Amino acid sequence: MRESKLWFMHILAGGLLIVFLGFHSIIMHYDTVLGYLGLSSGDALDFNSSVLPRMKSVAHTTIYLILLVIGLYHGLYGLRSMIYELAIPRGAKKAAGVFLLLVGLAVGAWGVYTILAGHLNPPPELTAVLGG
Amino acid sequence: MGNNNNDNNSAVKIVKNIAFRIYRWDGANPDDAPQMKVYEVPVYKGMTVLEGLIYIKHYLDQSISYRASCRMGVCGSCGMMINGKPLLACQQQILKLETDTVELRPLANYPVVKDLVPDLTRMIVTHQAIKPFIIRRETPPEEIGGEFHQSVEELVNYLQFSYCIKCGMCMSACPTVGSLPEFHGPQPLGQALRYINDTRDEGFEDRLAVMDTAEGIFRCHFAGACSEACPKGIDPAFAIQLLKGEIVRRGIFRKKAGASAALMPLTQENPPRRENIPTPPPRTVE
Ligand code: SF4
Ligand code: FES
Repeated sequence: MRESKLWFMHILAGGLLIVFLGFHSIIMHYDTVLGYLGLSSGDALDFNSSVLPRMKSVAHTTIYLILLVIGLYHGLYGLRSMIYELAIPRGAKKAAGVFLLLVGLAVGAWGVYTILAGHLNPPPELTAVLGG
Repeated sequence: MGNNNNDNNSAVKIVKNIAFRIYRWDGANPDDAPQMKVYEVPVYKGMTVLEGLIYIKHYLDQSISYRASCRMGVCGSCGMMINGKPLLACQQQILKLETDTVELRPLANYPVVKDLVPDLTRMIVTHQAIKPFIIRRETPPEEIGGEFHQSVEELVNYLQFSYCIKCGMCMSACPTVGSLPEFHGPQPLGQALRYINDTRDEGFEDRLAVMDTAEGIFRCHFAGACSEACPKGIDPAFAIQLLKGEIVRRGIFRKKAGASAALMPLTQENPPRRENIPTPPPRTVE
């Protein structure tokens, strides 16, 4: 594939990351602020009331699948760019590029499996086994 | 100007003596270690670094090498590192540096031929590779036989980038040129845009094939150092960003280029010459 296409996807992924990481940050880390706005669904880390419904939600699953793909692509292309700027033999650069592609595919597949496993086969609600 | 000519009748008044610390190394003796030699130069108001070098060569050390020609910022020969910055020696006044020592080194990011003379081959070869001339698909240049129509707005689209004097200072300021030997660098890329933006040109695809590589234009990080260094206001960093946009529009989204400039119709078969234009000398070759 032409470098211009790879680079353009990197820039596009960067733009999308701002949007999707924004969603992630607001949902996971700004639940207090969401509470002030009357939009909070409770403690973001509460398993039964927050984590489990997110796992089951199609919208959340889709957001995290997209976030996984664009985050991986943006990061790994950036790393490849840095390697390509080193004064090392071209063969070593190409080998590093192929290695990063394989890493991306493997980590991506693992991530997709993890997200889909949680969505399609969610664990049961936690019972108050720890007492209290 | 004579040696330390300080008398009141002289045309120039020496303001002070300044030490020139100059990088000395000769590619003919590559095993010799480079050294910094110091020369004392009497400096008058308005005196340029190049004039300082001419003084040194004339009165103090004839073995010193530097490159210069026009002495007025046009030929692009005299680029060098002056107190650590790439500058044209003929445009930089010594007193404006406001230092008591002027340190001169050859342009960074190039191999050295001798003393202050850099080997600009990398820039010249890459400049050639991007085809810095008008390319027409249909009509070979020898059959054009006329002038192309171009509006003032179309001219303005590339005019700024056509002022490049090939001094190579942008290349010496660029961090990516310094670390990545295959990177084209700001001078050739700026010139690629100069021709791509020219409505007479149809060579976008030819140049794209050269630039669109893993070590090509997309390795530019927009550090902007090239634009800081450029003595002609070309703004090669801006040119490169425009070029990236053009590559995405035309190379990825397949946006069609505007219609190429058309030939202007000749009003007469053999238009009469204006009277005050001298006739050209006879041809010396057939
Ligand atoms: S772009 Fe500017 S700095 Fe670079 S070679 Fe041309 S004139 Fe010199
Ligand atoms: S001598 Fe020509 S640009 Fe300086």
